Amino acid sequence: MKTPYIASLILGGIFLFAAGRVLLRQAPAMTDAAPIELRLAHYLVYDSNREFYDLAIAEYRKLHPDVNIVPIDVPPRIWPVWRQTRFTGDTAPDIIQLGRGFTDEMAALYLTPLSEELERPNPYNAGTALEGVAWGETFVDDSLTGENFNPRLLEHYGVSNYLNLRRVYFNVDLMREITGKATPPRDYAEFIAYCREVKAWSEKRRSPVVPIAGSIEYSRGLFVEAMTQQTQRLARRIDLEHDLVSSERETAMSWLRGEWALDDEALLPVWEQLHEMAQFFQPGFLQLAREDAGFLFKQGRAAMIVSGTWDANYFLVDSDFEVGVFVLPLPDEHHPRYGRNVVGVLTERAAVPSGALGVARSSKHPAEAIDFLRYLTSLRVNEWFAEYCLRVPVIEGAAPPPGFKAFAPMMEGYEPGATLWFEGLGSRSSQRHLEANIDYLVGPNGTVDGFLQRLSPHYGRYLRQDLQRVAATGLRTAQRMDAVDVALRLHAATTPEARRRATRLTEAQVIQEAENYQVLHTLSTTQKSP
Amino acid sequence: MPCGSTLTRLPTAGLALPARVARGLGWITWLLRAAGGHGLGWMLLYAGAMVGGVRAGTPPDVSAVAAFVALEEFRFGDAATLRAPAGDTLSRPASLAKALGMLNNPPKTDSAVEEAAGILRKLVADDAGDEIGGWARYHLGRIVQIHAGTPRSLEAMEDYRSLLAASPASEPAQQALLRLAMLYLYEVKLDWQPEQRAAAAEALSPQVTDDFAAAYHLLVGRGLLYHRLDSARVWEHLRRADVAGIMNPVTNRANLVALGELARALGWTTEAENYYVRFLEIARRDARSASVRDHLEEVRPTAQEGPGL
Repeated sequence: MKTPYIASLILGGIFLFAAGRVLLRQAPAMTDAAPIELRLAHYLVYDSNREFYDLAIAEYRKLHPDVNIVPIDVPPRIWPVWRQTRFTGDTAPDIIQLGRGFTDEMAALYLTPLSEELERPNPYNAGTALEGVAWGETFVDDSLTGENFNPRLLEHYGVSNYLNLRRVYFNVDLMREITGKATPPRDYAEFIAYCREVKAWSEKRRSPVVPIAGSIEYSRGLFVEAMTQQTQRLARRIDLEHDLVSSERETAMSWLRGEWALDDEALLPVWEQLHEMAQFFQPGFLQLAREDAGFLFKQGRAAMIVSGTWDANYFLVDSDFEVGVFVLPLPDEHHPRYGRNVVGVLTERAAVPSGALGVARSSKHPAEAIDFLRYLTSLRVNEWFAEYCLRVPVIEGAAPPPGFKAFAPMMEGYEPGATLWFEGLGSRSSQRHLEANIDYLVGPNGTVDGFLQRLSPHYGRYLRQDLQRVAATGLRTAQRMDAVDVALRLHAATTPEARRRATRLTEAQVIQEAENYQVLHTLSTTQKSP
Repeated sequence: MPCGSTLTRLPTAGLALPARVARGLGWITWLLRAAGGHGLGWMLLYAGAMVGGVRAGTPPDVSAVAAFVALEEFRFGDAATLRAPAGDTLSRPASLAKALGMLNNPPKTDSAVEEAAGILRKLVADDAGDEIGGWARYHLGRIVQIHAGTPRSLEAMEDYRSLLAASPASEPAQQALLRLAMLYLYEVKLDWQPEQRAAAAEALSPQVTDDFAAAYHLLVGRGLLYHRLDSARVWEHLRRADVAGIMNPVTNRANLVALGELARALGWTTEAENYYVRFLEIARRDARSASVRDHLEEVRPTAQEGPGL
């Protein structure tokens, strides 16, 4: 009977020795004259962002002379390839921006989970209203949305430092010249009236000025926002889970189940509104990239551009004219033509944080990397970031950049309805089908009837393709998560926290798998739907 | 030299250690991992386990530890290529980990799936009574349900029912129960009406253990919603999921809203009020707040008892 105890003693001793060696191995680096070097890779390539990172890193180094952080900015277009090369080559930077196709597999393989760290207070918030508050709870979304939290793996992998909000930038000088005043439109009627004024004014000039500079990306954003406000009542009608959220999966399944149609009374006003707004963009806007639209506005050849807070530095700095900002006014529930399916204006209460940064699993200095993220997302530094880069801060209580009231999130209002721009649904076949035909609605000779005649015949086929892809992806996730679940239960579940994590994972996995079966059941039982 | 097979948790599987010591070792393992001790730390950990294991009379299960860590980190290839030292065989936990790695290691082939199934069948045949045997039986069901080129769900259901009958309270059996309920609710090869599906899934309720109750009731509640069955029945499942404790905060919020919405539609205004209030207490920045507040105002003046909270 004594043998196991002797073995335990030997084991314990060697464990302690091993732990000591690990600590001793790291200790010299902490005190070494040579600084610890961390690399931070991101794709925020605006000058202000680059400058801010340089400044923040310099300030951080004053607090931690041993830590040197080297920022690496990578152009967004090559970012996914660059990131994959780094990950597979085991040369990932210590701190890396998430987003842009960051998959579950990448997160599990290459990132350090931050959930436990987020439960502890952020020491850099000492002396502020957030002192003692768990780091995760200092974010406006409680760190539960966006790129930071992976709902399938049930782990936090990143922290953000800004929110993205859609905003309209307008040429104040032009507005003054056309209308004699510089007051942004207060509602949709005034917005459309101003567009008409610009159009009429431009027709009398040799060099035309369009009311709104458009591109495929900018117009998509505008159309999606208009649609999700117009479909609030439809979303409640098809809300399968009664949770006031209409996911793309639910919306697509409910179409196959015959619960709504493209010419539904709840959708006709959407098409009509998109048709109305599109006549104020420049011709051929669907073929243009966002840079083209931005250039048109910067040249003073467009009165407005519907973009977002992410472009603030580009439009507000170095323009040859005064630029103003306002919140896009969409038809509210009282609008005589477009209001009947609206519950209320869209809220930005739950705007999703962006620009998340995570810590690579391969980092030799994860503690220092996490500490820098704590610093970067502290109340004061987040306010500094917002002011310097003209961004919307993400930390609770942090003020938006001074002088930019329009950057404050709209806290009033209601949840979005459904969208038919299924950006996250399967292979995005139905989105491509919609965009391939949208010209029949928003083009110069577009009509609602003509558009629906083009869209309807093959809509079900593309929707099915998307849902089949959803099911295939879901199946692969289920297969992999099965293995993770067992591994957690048999290996890691020696602590209560690990057991909780295993239970949480099972819960999430069961729900996801059931959603997958709902898709398969719908596909199978609606084969005769249009 | 196969490892002992009746012990439960890794990394101490194979070592007859008292629970307190095993917990301690778990913490030390965790500390080492947290400290980033991939190199020397791990070597010493393994060396320690080796020495201790040999002295304890049972060899340690180092390869299983590494394989399970690999699975947790999606490194399926590392688990799939696990090999026993020359002249030795893989322990039962290591064999299970290897099979799970093979099932997920790309490129996925029928022969790899069949080989994995062979490993699992051997684990069952050698000793189906231990926990590893239970997991092997469960995954044999999963292979025919979700890994086979042509899923054979009805066969999987048989596997799950048999596992559930053998050791209903074990973790693998509870996982099997959840998949059985799922198949009852949605499997298209079952030519059942929605009511039959719901009844079959609900009949499993008495066998659900506390750890799996939230997942089970969420699954069944949402299944009933999908089939547009009686709202009061749905509400009761979602309520029981809430009582059991939903661990995912996002799902928890969605469930509170659904409980409020269903209760409001049923005219159970007291219950609706309770869940709306609870949602608003925890969801500071949720886009649904205004709708929930509106609905709360709607039900407050007409508080009417439902079945209770």
